[in-house]
Amino acid sequence: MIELTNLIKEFGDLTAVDDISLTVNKGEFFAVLGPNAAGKTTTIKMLVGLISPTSGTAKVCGYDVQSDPIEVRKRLAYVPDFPFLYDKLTPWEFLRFTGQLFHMTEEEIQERTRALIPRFSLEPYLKKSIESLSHGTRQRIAIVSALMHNPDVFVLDEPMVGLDPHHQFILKEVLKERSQTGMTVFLSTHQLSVAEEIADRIGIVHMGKMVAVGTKEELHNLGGTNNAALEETFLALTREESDVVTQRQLQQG
Amino acid sequence: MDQSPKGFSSPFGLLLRVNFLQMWRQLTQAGTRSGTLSTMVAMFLLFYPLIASGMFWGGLRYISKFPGLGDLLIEHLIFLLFAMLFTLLLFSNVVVGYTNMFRNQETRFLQTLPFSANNIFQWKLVETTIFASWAFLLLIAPLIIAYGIHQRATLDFYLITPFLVTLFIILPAIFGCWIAVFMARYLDRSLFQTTAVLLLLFMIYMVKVYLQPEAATEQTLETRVLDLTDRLLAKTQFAQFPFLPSYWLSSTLTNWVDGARALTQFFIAILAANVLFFGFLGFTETGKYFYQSLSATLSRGSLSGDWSQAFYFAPRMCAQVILLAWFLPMVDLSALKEYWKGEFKPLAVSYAAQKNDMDISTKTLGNWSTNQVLQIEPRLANGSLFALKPEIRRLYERIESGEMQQLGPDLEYLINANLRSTLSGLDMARRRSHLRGEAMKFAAEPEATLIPEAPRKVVNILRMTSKPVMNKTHLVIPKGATTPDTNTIYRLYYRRLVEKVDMENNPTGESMFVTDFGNYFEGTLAEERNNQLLLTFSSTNFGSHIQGAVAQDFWGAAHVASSKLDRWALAQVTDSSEAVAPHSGHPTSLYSTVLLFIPLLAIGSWIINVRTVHLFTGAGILVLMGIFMVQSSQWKNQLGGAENLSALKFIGTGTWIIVVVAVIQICCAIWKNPLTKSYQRWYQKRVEQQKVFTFQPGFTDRLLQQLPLLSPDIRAVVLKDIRIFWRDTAQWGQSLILFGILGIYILNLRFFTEQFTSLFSSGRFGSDYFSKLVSFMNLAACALNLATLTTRFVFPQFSLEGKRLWIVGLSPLGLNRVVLVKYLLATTISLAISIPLIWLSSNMLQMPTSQKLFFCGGIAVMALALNGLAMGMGVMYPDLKEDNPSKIVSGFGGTFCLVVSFVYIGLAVMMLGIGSPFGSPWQIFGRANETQQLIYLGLFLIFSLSVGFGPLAYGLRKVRNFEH
Repeated sequence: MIELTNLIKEFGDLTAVDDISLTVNKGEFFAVLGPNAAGKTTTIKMLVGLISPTSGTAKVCGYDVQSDPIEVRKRLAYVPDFPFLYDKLTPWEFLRFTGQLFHMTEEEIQERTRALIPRFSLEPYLKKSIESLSHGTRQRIAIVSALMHNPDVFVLDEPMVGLDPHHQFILKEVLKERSQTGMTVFLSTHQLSVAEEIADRIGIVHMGKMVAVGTKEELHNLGGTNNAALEETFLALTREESDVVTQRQLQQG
Repeated sequence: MDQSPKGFSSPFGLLLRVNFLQMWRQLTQAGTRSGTLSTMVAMFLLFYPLIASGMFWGGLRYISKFPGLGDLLIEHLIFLLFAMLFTLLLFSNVVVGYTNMFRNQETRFLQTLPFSANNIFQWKLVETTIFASWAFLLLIAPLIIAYGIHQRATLDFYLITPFLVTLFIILPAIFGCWIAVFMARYLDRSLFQTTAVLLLLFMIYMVKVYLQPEAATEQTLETRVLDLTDRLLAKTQFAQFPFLPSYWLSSTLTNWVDGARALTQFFIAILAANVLFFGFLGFTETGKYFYQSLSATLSRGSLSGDWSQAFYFAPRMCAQVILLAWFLPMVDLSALKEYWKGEFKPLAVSYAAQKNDMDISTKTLGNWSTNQVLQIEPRLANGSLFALKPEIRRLYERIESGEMQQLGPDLEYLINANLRSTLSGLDMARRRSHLRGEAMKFAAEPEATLIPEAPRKVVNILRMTSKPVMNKTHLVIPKGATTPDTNTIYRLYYRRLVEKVDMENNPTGESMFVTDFGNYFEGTLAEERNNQLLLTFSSTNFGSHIQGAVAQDFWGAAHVASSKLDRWALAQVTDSSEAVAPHSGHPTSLYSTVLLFIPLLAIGSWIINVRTVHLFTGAGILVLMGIFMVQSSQWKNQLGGAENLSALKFIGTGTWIIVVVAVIQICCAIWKNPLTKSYQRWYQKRVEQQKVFTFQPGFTDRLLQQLPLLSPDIRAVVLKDIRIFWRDTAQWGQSLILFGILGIYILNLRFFTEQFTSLFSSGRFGSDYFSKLVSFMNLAACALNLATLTTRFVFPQFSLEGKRLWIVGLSPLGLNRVVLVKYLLATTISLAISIPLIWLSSNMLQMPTSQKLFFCGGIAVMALALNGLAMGMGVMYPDLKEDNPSKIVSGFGGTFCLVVSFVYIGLAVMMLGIGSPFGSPWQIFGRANETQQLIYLGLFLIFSLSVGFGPLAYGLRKVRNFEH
């Protein structure tokens, strides 16, 4: 479903993503972890086609993101950490707009949103202007709009930011359900517990490289001591996280 | 374009629908949210078209009254209006397009949806066209209506014009969006900033060069109105360049009202064809470039500072600069013009002095002028300046008819009107020479019979001499260096002591000797022993040989010793030499059309972008320029042999830029890799140095620490505001345009007073009316500029704290002190800008120091008031959700603040004017006495304080209980 091959992105003298190769299968829930400025968002941006890679390829459902962008986007949904919504529309108008973009009929739009809207508690807000809504509510609208067209691949960048615990739980539930029915989920997060709890496989990105990929158990074994917590493994692999920018400059220099 | 399955809306259609719904909501919500705003908008929409159309109509009616010129002027104005509109729309589309496509979250959102990049670009193009153009169209609509009414256009004119204007705005929108896409692809932020500033300076320079003001004396204004108007209109010729889209629209409209339908159809077809062609390209072919640009803008987080890539782009950039420089002056003829003006200056001074001596008759003065012109002609009209001959002869005719009063200004005018100051590469490739106006026409047609019969004789002054010794039949003078020619007639002219005058014809107190052409002895000259010369009359009819009362009295009282008549001039009367047409030739042996290779080479190397081609281009251009520069001495020889000018004086800025940039191009093409590596080494070293954090305060911080009375918390707020402002280039960058216009305004200001004072000298308001008017208009202009800045930057200051309000709001400093600090900082900066500005402009207007100080005081009070108003209203109408200052300003509060500021300026300037001890346009019934002055100045102060500090005090009270 997702196939990243030798993906590199350079910003001047800085290599933000350094030769990442990865395959995420259909129905797999893949979580990407990494310290700040590790290259997670840049990888996601290349995966969804927002930026072009310096070299390497990104494929979604067999289509190259750069050469077949439309085919990719038809099968993909993306929710960034701060999603864009049309402020002057109501959530319902926005959801209909998104549905129409994906060529859904009125019946399909109503049917699918009817299932999603109550789960994300959006009914009271459907007729309000989006500009008057809180960050968390906007985030939920963005998630619903992304899920309503049943994407094959769902990419989320820090989706838990701004969501209350209840809706974090709902989101995790929904993502689990969807991945079980064949949707591939690619999620970046700082919350190790989220990754640990729901991801089939976890990738740890550090200084632009994918330093570790594996199941929860496999990663536990990488921590130095058998069955170490994911946190320990993460810290072991991404030591000196707070000074990551300096490290990268040193690496480049 | 539309790949949607049957039954579904196209992505583009969906985007249109959703965005128009957004806009509609925005409009209707603005109406329901604020009644005052709705009323203001409604009033504006109701009255603006009426008032503006009326005013424009009045203006057009006034212009149409210019005898014989009215219609022409109006036509030029229409062409100029649309040309300026095109330029402004282009600029506006670049700015709006860039922001809309690359700084807008919607683009990123759409990029992840099933839209092609082309779909997104199509929508952004439509959005940009609307946002960038609506305000301009609203502003010019009344002018078009007024034009229609004035020209008595039929109803169909008003029906077709909106359609045509809609077609027209598409072109600058497409071009603007293309430029924006190009900029996003190739320029990162710092490169963009540098380019923007350089472009601004370049534009100011170009405007300065192009709109070179020409001195118009009272005399030329009286006698040369048509010539001057012609030359003024010549500056607007660019608006009639047939490849400008504005030309097609203007031609359509002017021909439509004239009823020339065939021409109208032709221009509509051209406009429509271009819109369709470029529209098609924009809608179908720009998507992929757009995606590359978007990807580039999202990818360049850490590029700034590392310019090592610049060496890779440098040869190409050089090619671009060379191409641009080719349009700059390559030959600079201003030194030559100055040389000739310098040559005329002594004549002009002498003439002015003679003119004011009552004893010199008009006829004598006329003779003198005629003689001077005849002497100048062969010198001036040789070589390539031969084409000036008909103009010189026309001058001679005017002297003969007694029309000409001032020789100096007319000769200067003759030079200005017929010689170009500069020649660009384009001018030379188009085979334009140094000539223009009548001279250019004459040069193109040298056989033309333009020359009237000229006087046959001309007097050449040989030398000065002392008082002659009288004899019964002859006069004796010292021989000096003169070798007499027995076949020539000589004259001994009396030299008179006269008082010098200034430009206003007032005596300067200095005096000088001038040759009195009305008093002379005429005869043959023979050599005598003892180093003496005898001036012998050829007959005993002394009356025909002794001219003028002074000479006759002197001859009659031959034995009376007079110390006054001791200065004379010996002159030779010869046949006037006729300037003859030179052999036709080119000023330089390198034909100017060869210079066309420069842009071709530059374009070629830009496109091919290969090392060898860059080397070939750079070397080829250097060789061409080398030959061209070596030949520059030939310009000097051909253009009248101004010996004291060096050949380098003729090399224009464009040539120097091309030479320097071609050298850079060659260097970068040869040493691209070593240069890049050495830069990278240096850059890495710098980065390493920067890594060593010293925990030292920055430069601004240290500077502020030096200021007394600033507590650390206040200093922190000031420092934060300065840093945020300085680093947000997108905000202050827009103001560069304002400062550009101000720069041009100040450059031109010095020409205001001297040129127009005389126009009003006979008016009922007195001779200094115009200078008074300009001085107060200048104050108003500076204040309006200040109001724009305060509304743009001071008004949103409070709102900008926005979501971060808790940081300062909860600090021990307190919100009201924060507002006060912001006010004081803004006022200090405003004063630092406005006082030098008013001082400089007053200086240009040649005001006395006391008046300058008066205006400085005035603007200082206004700065305090305007800042107080903007800050106070910013607190009264905060928008804490918005991070973009330009959006905060465009809301109700910002608009209201701008309107109040403008009304305040109008009233304040009027009060200051009535109370001014230096006179003002409002004092038409006489200058106010001291008590009245004090009353009005007091009123100005009270009014300013209440307008400024009222809202500020209210705002400060409001923030004390501000809930955030």
